[in-house]
Amino acid sequence: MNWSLFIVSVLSAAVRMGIPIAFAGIGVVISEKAGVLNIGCEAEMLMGAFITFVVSYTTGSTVVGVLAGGIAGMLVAQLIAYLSISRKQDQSVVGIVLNIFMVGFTSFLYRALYGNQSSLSIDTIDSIAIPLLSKIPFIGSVFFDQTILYYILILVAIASWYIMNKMKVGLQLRAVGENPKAAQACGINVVRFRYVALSIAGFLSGIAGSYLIVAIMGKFTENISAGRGFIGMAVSALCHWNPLLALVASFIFGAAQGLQMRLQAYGIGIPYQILLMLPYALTLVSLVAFGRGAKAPKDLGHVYEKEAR
Amino acid sequence: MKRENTKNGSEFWQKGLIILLSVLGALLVGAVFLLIQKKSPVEVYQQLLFSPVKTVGNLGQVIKDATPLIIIGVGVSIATKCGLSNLGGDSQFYMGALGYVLVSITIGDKLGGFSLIVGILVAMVFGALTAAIAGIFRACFKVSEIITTLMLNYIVQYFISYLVNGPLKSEGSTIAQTAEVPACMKIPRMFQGTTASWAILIAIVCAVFYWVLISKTKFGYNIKTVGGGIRAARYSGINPMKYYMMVMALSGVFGGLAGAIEVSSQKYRLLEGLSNDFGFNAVLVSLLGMLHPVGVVIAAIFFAWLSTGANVMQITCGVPVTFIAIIKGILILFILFGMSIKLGKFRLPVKHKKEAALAGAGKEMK
Repeated sequence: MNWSLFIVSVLSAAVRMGIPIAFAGIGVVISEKAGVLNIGCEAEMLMGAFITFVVSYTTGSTVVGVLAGGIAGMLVAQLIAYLSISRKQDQSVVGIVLNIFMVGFTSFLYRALYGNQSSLSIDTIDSIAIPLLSKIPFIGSVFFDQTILYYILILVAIASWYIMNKMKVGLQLRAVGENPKAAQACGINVVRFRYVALSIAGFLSGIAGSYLIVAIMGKFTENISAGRGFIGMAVSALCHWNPLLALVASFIFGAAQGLQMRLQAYGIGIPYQILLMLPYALTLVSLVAFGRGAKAPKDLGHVYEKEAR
Repeated sequence: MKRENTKNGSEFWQKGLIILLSVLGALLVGAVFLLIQKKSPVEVYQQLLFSPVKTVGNLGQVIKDATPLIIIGVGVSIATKCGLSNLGGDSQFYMGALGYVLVSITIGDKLGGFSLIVGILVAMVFGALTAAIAGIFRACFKVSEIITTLMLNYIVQYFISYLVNGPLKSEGSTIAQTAEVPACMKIPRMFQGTTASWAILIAIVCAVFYWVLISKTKFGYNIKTVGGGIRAARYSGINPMKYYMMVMALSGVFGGLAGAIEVSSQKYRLLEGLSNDFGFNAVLVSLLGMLHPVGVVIAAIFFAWLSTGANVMQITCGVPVTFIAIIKGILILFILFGMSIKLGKFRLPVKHKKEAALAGAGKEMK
C-alpha cells in the first residue's frame, strides 16, 4: 500500500467532509455566543440543500443556487428565532420539531416538484488550485486545491473570529450571550442581536447544505444532511466557541469520516465505528478538561425576558 | 392533581382547546399538502386516522409503538420538571437494550423468569449511568446537558454498532445483530397474531409512578422547586446540583427500561436501528402531553396511532410515511405558538423562574 497516497487521500477527504460541518459549526458558534441554541441547524441545512438544488437545477447557475440556499436557511432560522426568542418557547424543543418536520417537508416538496425521479442531478463545481501553494507536497493538494466555497469558508472563519474578538459589535454579541441583563443596561438591543446572530447562523447552515449539493452529491436525496447539523453543534463545543478552532474541529470530524471510508475500502480490520465515535468522545473530554467548560456562554439556552429580575 | 386542575380549571380547558385546534389546524394544512400532491385528503385521512382501529393487528401495532414512547416520554418529563432537557433518550435506550442483552448472554435462562427481572434491572442501571454522565457534567462542570446528551447519542450508537458488528454478533448470522434472548426473557404478546405485548402495562405503571412521584412525594416537590429556579431551590435548602445528577439518572432509568422492553417484547435481539427515533419523539410526546402523566400516555398513543395509520396510508394511498413528520411538526409548532399567545406563560418550568417558584410555594401553603 502506498502510504503517502493514503495519507493525502484521507486528509483531502477530511477537508472535503469537514467543509459543510465547519460552515454549520461556525454558524452555531455565532448563535450560541449570542445565547441561542441552534439545534434547528439540521433543518436549516436540509432546507438550504433543497433550495440550492431546485434553484441550481432550474436556473443552471450554482452561484444563484448557493445564495438561494443560504437565504433559505436564514428563513428557517427566522422561524426558530420567532418561536424561541419572541414567543419564548424552549429552544431545544423548537429545534427538534423543525428537524423532524423538515425531513418530511423537503422530501415532500421534492416529490411534488419532480415526482419520483431520483436521478436528477446538477454538475458539481470544480476545485480551484492556488498557483505555487498547491504544488507543495502532501498538504498542497489538500489545503490549496479545493472548491471556491472552501476559500470562502476560511474567510468567514477569520472574519467571524475578528469581529467577535476585536470589534465592538463582537463584544456586544458576547455580552448578550453572557449576561443579557447587563447588555440591556448598556443599551444593547438583546432581542435584535439574537435575531441577527441566529439569521447569520441560518445563512451559514444553508450554505453548508448548498455545499452538499454543489460540491459533494450533485443531487438531492431524502435527509441529505444526515446529522451534520448535530455534528456542527459538537464542533462548536469542541472548539470552545472559537470560530478559528472550529475549522480544526470540523476537520477532525471530517478526518474520522474520511479515514473510516478509506479503512473500509482497504479492508483494514480496525472497527470503523470506534473511529467515528472518537471525535464525539473528544468533545466531551475537552469540555471537562479545559477549565470546567467555562467557555460556554453563560446565558446559553435561556429565554430572555426584559421584565424579569 | 385533580384539585390543581379545578383550581386552574379554565387554564386546563384552554390548553385542551389549543391542542384540539392545533390538531385540526395541522390536519388542515396537511390536507393542502395532499391536494398539491393530487391526493384526496378525505381518502388519505380515512386511512391515517381510522385504519388503526380496523384490524386487531393494527390496534396491536399502536400499542406496540406507544409503549417505548410512554416510557421514555415519562423520563423526559421528569427531567423537564427539574429544568433539564434530556435529548439523549436514544443513548439511554440503546444502553438499556445492551444491558438486557448482556444479561441474556451471561445468565441466560439459568434463573428462569428471574432472568427477565434481572435483565430489566440491569438495563435500568445502564440507562441511569448513561444519563448520569450528562447530569454530572451539568452539576460539576457546568456543561449544558443538551450538548452532552446529544453527543452521548452518537457515542452510544456507534458503540452499539461496533458491538453488534463485532464481539456480540450472533454466530452464523448474516446481518449485524446479537443472538436471540432465551424464551424465558421474552415478554409474551397480548393476542396471537399481533405485535402488542403485555409490556404496555409496564408503561402504564411508569406513568402512574410519575404521577405519584410528582404530585405526592417530597422528592417530586423538590424536583419542581429546582425546576422553578435554582436560587429559589437553594433558599429552601435544596442542593440543586445534587438534584440535577439524581434526576438525570432517574430520567435515564426510563430510557434504559424502554430499551430492555423493546428487546424483550419485540425484536428479541439488539441491532442497529432498534430505536425508531424514539428519543426525539419522546421529547415531543412529553411536550404534547403537557408534562402530565395522562397527557404523556395520550400523546404517545396519538403518535403511535399516526405512525400505524401512516403505514397503511403508504400502501393504500401511495402517500409516503414521511407525511406524518409534516403533520407532527406543524402540530407542535401550532401548539407552541398557541400556548405563547393564549396563555402567554406556558413555558417549560426553568424558564419562568420567579413566578413558578412563588406559585409552587403558594400551593404548598394551602
